[in-house]
Amino acid sequence: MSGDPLVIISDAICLGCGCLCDDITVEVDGDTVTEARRACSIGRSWFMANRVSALAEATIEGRAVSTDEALDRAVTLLTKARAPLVLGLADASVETVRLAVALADHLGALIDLTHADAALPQLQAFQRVGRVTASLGEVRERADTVVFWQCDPVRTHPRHLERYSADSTGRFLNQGRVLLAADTEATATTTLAHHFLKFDAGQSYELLKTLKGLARGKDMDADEPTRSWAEHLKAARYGALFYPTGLGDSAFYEALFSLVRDLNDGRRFAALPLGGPGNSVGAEAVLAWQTGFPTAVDFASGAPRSFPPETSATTRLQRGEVDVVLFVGKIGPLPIDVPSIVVAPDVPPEATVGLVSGTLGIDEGGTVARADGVWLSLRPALPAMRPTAREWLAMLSGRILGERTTP
Amino acid sequence: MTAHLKIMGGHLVDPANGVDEVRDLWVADGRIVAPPEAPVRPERIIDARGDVVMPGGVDVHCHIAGPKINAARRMRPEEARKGTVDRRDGLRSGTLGGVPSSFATAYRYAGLGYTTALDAAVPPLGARQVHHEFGDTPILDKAFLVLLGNNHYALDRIRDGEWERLRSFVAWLLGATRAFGVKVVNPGGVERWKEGRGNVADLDDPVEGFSVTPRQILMAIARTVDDLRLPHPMHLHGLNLGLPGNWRTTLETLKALDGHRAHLAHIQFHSYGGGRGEDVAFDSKVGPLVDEFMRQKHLTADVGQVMFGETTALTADGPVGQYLARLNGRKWYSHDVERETGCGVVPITYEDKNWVHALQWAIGLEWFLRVDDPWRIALSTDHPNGGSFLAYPELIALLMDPGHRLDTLAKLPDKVRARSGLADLPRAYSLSEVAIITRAGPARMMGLKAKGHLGVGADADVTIYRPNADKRLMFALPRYVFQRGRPVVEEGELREAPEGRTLHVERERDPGETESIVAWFEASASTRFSNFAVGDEEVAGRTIVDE
Repeated sequence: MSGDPLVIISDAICLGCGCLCDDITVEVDGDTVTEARRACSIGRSWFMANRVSALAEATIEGRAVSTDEALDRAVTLLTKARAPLVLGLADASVETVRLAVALADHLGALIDLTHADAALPQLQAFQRVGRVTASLGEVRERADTVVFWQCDPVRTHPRHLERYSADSTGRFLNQGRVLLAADTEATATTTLAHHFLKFDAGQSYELLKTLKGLARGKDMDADEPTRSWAEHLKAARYGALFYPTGLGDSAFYEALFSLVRDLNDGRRFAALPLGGPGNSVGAEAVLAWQTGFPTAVDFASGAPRSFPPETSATTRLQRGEVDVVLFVGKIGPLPIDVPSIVVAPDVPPEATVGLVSGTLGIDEGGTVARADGVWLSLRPALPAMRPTAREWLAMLSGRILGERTTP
Repeated sequence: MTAHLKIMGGHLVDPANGVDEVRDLWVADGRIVAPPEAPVRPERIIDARGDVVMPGGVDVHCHIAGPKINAARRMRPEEARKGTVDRRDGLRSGTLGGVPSSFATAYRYAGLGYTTALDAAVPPLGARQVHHEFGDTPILDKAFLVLLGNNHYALDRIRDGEWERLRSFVAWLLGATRAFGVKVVNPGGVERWKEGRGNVADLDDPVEGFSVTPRQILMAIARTVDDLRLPHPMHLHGLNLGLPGNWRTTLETLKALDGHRAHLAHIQFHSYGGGRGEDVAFDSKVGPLVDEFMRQKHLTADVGQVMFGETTALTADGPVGQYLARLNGRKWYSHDVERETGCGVVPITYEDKNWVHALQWAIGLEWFLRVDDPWRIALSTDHPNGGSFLAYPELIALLMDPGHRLDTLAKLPDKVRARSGLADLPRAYSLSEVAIITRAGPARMMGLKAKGHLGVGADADVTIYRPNADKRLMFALPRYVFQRGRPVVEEGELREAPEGRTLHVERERDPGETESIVAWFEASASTRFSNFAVGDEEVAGRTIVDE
């Protein structure tokens, strides 16, 4: 609305990619974000995306209904369900996820995260060998060698290099840093790297094994570029290797984590995920502390059980073993023939019940976690037009659990 | 009218008030009150005749929330699959193993009669996560110690001898993270290791890049904590944890702290003979350490008892994580936290057939038995490092029942008897002494005036045990547990799980220091200063502890 004073929010946090830049100055005119200073192109689009404002607050089968009516229907669906599924949560706040897990526990539901399938290989590798890692500030201050493994942050995480991994300076970096890249093709990032190791698609696992052998001083069958690149790894005093999600199977990630672990003999080395948009790391953390498992938790037996992919949402949906779905957050296509309750800023018309929320970080606050384990409290720039996802979950829980809402 | 609860006819064991006799206990508004002068009909009477009534348990050193605990949960689903807590009306489900899920942790602590727990080591950057996790850890009153011994800002102030600035920084850090006190872990050693120069081995080794020594760090922080009049003294995890021959550094540390307050964490792990230039590879040095410890009246310690079985080692001492992973070859999580600390998580199995592990077990028990003033030693397993808190009843049984202890010792490898003096210690802990090392003492060490006793005005955290010749059973299954007057356990069963409080301190500071802290963030952090501090609304049951 014209006439409202311009509102400026400093140090706002961007959830547009895994960087979670927290230095954005957002300008708001009325209920529109007009500027996001210091944000990259991805961040500007994320902050300045128009809010969907025409939607009703609550819907049943696409019709606008009262909040009460929608909640009643949702409660009936959830409490009558024999095999409910709570799904999504990758762009929900920690506070919302805490409520969602509590509700799933009460309902005896299955709960899983949108990104869980893509992240499963690296989770399984972590559960086999562990991981040596660091927070991004350590990379900023200490890493004299930075490795980008089959990833292109220049394109996908535009401020990563400026803020953390390439241009930043630190008190321990007297002689600058060496940038290494390994990929199957040239990218914007490999072009920037001082030493680019190009390899054939499908050979990443073998290459990691070769590098591991070379790092340990073994006599390996390797070509000269590989040998010389391995020497750069070994020359590090403090190395940081960045990797993306969904790149390979668990054997690949296991080889990657094992290489970095071995590189800690004689120097320091850390493996860090680049991370994705939203709050999937925070959601996994909540599931882990409330249930002991980070993804794919089945409460049907009255206690948490998790054996992904057996207990993954995808598997259960494919087998038709789900009779109601509660989606929290942005979703893909809805499964056919299963009634759904959708808590999201943008509810598809085919949803049985739609509970329209705000967008996390834009007009909905809360807590999120960065991929390196740094937790931040959001500074939403816009006032909420709708109940937040957290409030919807609290209303659902309140009606289902009565007085005993936890937390 | 106030509703009264009367706990009738129980044997009160309240060593802080010198009480060890049959006496009624009155509770109103969540606190212990004097018996009413005029006749009052209590809302509820608990018949405790024949039972033992103690204050709720207080754990002065455990790890129950935060980044490293949750990393252990993520990395070790095989542990969570060992046992479950089933959902019940009004209560949450959960999983067990060495690092139980958050609700299960609270339920099981309460189930043992514990009502207060201090998480011993949280990186400042991990504080926000801890507070959210605390919000899902009900019943218990909780607090945490913030890590400081490798903090760059602190090390710079110590190098330059800027004591007032250091004090302002510590006061700021406590406030920003809503911490209860200060933990020092391997001062300077973690920083040196993170920089790729290896660990420190001696109090006077240099920490390059900062031109300070471990001795300077721990003395400066001990002094600062005293100057700030924090309720809990500096909580110290010293150098060389777990290494043969580390007792020399420990002895030197005890002497260095002369006259200062300090709490020595998991002292068992720092009491080993052997190593360089010694006749034996590894033996107990508890005797000489206890002699010096008793001379230093301002020091307290918790034991960090090793219990046999599978557990997870997790520590802010990054180099210890690497040492363990190299030793046992198992999976290893390590997380360097910018400007502050490290973190290592490694599975470990303490086996009674392994003489080193068995000797660690004996060394812990020696500490309990050789320190003749129970007020200065607290029961802990450094949960989950030495073993789970779920093993506390077994540990109490080992202390109260010398026969059980000697039977266990007899089954261990010969070297254990040759290299520790445990067989010659016939002492049996009394009920009162057990009450001291499990509640009265830890509460006093933490400076919590309303905890650990049953005097008028104390929090009505009360545990009622049914006496049993089998001490393990007695302490594993309290009849009743009250949290601030609310019955959470009745007839051995968990009834409800009210929210607990989060205890923290606030201290005055020079606001002029903030500008320099902001500049430090801009020069080295991966977040903005303004996004660092934890907000009031993020802290569950926020309670400021006054002096």
